[in-house]
Amino acid sequence: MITTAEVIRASVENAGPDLRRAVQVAFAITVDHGLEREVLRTLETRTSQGARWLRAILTEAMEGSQAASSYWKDVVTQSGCEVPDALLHRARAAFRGSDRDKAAALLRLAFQGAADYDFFLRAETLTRKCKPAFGCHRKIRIALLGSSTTTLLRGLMELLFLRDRLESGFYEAPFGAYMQELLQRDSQLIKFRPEFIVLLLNWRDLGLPNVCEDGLAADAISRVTEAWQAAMDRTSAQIIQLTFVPPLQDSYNALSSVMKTGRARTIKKINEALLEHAPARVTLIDSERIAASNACPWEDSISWSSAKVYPAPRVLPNVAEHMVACVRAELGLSRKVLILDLDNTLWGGVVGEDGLDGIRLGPPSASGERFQEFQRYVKAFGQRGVLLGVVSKNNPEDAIEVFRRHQGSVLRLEDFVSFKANWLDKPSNIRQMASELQLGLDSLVFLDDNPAERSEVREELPEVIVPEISSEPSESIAALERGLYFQAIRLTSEDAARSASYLVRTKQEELRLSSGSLHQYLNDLRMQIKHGPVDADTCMRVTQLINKTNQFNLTTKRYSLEEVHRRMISPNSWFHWYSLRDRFADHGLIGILLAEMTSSEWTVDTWLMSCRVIGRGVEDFMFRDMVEHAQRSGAQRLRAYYIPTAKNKLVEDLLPRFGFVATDNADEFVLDLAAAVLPECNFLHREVIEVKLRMEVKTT
Amino acid sequence: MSAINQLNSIFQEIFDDPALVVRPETSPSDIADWDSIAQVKLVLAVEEVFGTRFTTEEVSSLHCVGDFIAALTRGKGEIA
Repeated sequence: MITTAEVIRASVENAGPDLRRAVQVAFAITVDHGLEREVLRTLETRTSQGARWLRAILTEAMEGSQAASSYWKDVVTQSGCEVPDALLHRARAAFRGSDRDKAAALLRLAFQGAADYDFFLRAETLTRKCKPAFGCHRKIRIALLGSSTTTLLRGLMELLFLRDRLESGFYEAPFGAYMQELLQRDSQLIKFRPEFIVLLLNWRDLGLPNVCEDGLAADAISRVTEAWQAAMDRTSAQIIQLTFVPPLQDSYNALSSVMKTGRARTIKKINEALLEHAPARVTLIDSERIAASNACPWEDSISWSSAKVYPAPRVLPNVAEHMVACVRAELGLSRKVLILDLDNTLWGGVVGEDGLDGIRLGPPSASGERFQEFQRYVKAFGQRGVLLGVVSKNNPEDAIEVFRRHQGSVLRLEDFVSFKANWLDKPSNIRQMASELQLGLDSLVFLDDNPAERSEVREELPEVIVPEISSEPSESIAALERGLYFQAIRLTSEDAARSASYLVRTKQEELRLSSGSLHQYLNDLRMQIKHGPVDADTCMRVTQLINKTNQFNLTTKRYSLEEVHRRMISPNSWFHWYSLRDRFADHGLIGILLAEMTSSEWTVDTWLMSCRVIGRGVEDFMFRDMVEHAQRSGAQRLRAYYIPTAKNKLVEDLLPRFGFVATDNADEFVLDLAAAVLPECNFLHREVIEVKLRMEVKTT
Repeated sequence: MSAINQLNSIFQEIFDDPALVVRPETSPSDIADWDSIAQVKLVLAVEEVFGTRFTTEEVSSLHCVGDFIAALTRGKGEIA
């Protein structure tokens, strides 16, 4: 005779897709009937996800969260992926055991994969309590303006920012009063001095009837651009806005999108015009793309009528993720390198065991086709400027063979800037790769189907993002789509050439090893430097570099395109760019110097260089160039600042090295120009100076 | 009684208070953090856990825990 406890067990072991709900119901019934012990006994030997989940939740109810913590650890999916709900329970236990750091680490991981709005709600209060443990390194000020309730979105963005080690301060304009706030000279909004303004408008703000006669679209467009203009005139914020989604209900139904004057079609036209005319300070997010990736409708009329929530709450996590990604991109915090495992990540099977012909990659195998699809997806990442690397436990010959000889392999060896197939542990390989590329660990994303490897990397290198994936390639794509780790606001020609530039650096490393001396090495590179005042052709790239350079950066000041432009045309600014080419690659524009001039003194506002060219003596050239210009202008002193951050230790000694002397003011240094010693003309320098004499020098 | 057990764990999670015990008569005046935003969150979380959607009418009638139970059990048999 089957017992009630066994029925309860069967209900969670045979649950449908919503396992959480099945466990909740089973738990409630168990407690109602006082069957806790009986049910736990029937679960003892069971290993299904449902059984483990029910065991954890029952143990927690009976013995508390500490006792249940190890059971929650067992709650993973069939393929060994962490379950956000289980992570949340473990985080609670860690928090109650006063281990906030662990709680924060678990929450961070949970937010990496969580998509349900419901999950964020349940995690919100705990996350706030753990706030100090998230290790935020930067504060940002964001204003939310709109014609709908912004509080829910704000809550989500706060959590995602914390996950990304950003502390966010928000200003929410009174409901619907965004235009007044933007136009009033000393409104709360203006006083808040936002760095970002999220403009949350929806189709209602466009005031369009079902049938839109000529002129209505133009009016609507100008209403939006007026709001942009006001925001740009009165604040220095970057503006983030979603494109408009036509109302889900329209009495003209499908005609609305087909008819020339249909409302849906008109709204698409408006979106197109906004995208076309958006200035650099406005970032538009394509709503349709987000809407298409969500299982639930964009709009929920009940949430709108009861709380003025738009879009639907269940869509909000995805919307918040996009907004946070835009902010990260503007701050230069997007990830730069995608590191991939090989076996069961880039192809099906294990090449060392199954052999070149045994792995699944490309047709006719259906799973082989999906792996090939994933390779194509990854390859395009490389083409848009994301660096690709391999870290895999394999015999190097076996691994290389696949990229050289396998018919189905879309990726080729040249697509990777670094390739580490060996038997070392993965954290060591990853650390090594970061140092070779001269990038921080927080520039990396690591994809691996093996849960143990993922957890080891996460444990050792918490800065690296390690998404939860199984050996199903479509999950890898989904994880990259969801995380938006490599978000870019706009692309420049340097992005496309970046991979090639890094690739040759690996070759340069080899050359450095084979060259007798550093001088010989630099000589062999045959470097050519070009430079000149920042102008219309270069200001886009200059802005990009200003906003993402972290290591070789004296002051880490960030400027929008508009601010760059202002300095570019100011007669009191000396604003120069530097680019470098060698016999392996054109590195493009890699250095920027900005000084503010008075008759007696120049103040160095910004001095930065791409980390790709560190160790080449370019900084010596830049210093020399600036000193020569300053002396010629009649200035007597150079004033400069080294503002330490978590990442710019590299330039800690830069100013003293060139003879600057620290003043009594914090972080401040001065150099008497009459006493300035121009850098020793070592071999590299002579080379550079010769180049300078040969080339056409643009002058200020 | 099943619904109130499940509601209790939702309330505990949303207000992050493992000692919280709600009764049918528990209302916003008993829980300091139960404001209008918390109300929106509660409604969404309850909908998710019970796999249901409240009507506009129901949403505006939820003034205490008992109202949640009434809305949830309307037209449903007891689970057990």
